[in-house]
Amino acid sequence: MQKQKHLIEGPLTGGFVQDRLAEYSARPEDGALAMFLGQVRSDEVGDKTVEAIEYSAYEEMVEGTVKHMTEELLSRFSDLRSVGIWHSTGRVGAGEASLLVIVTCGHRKQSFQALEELVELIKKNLPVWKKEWFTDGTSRWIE
Amino acid sequence: MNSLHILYFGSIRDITGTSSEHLSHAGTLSELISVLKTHYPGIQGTRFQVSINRQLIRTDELQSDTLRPSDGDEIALLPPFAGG
Repeated sequence: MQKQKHLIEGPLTGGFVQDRLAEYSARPEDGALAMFLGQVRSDEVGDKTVEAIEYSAYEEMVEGTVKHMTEELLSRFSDLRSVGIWHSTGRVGAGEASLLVIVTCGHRKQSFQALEELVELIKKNLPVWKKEWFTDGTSRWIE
Repeated sequence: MNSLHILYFGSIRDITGTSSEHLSHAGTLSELISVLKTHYPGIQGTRFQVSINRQLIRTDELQSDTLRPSDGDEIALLPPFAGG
């Protein structure tokens, strides 16, 4: 697996996603690519509306966590060929993307399963925190 | 005394008002956490995990009397992760 920079300052733009897709789909030995793009929702909380999420991370811990999750996934999905994980840090507005996950497999079945499992692992294990900012300028931590 | 690098993240950083600090400490990890809770009473009601040198510490390890940070260790207080 190639060395990746997993944390990206600001939203994951369409251009960024397109470049990663081009990179990961250019593997002739893989028959399936599955992708998850998580984006910030404009949730209504009481009479407030979420305008953005501010992400922070324990950057030095992220690489080890990604390595550990990738190894776990590779040991469980025999058809899994490659994994890509990118998460935003800093402010990401509602409707903008903050998490991109790509897996490639020999065939489609395990690509869906591995992708879903990896997203759950990321939610549980990646040392990232988020603070919701509302349109009225107030904020709260999400845990 | 061991010199420890303490890191704070997420909501805990708002309570401590700083992202990191250096502390001298000679006791166990459990005692260190008690010291921090006394110094920053706001974290007493906050759920968090602890890592040493980027390795998460299990609750039973944290409560044991044998786990002592070493000189130069990086200790982090980690509220529940919320990525995605």
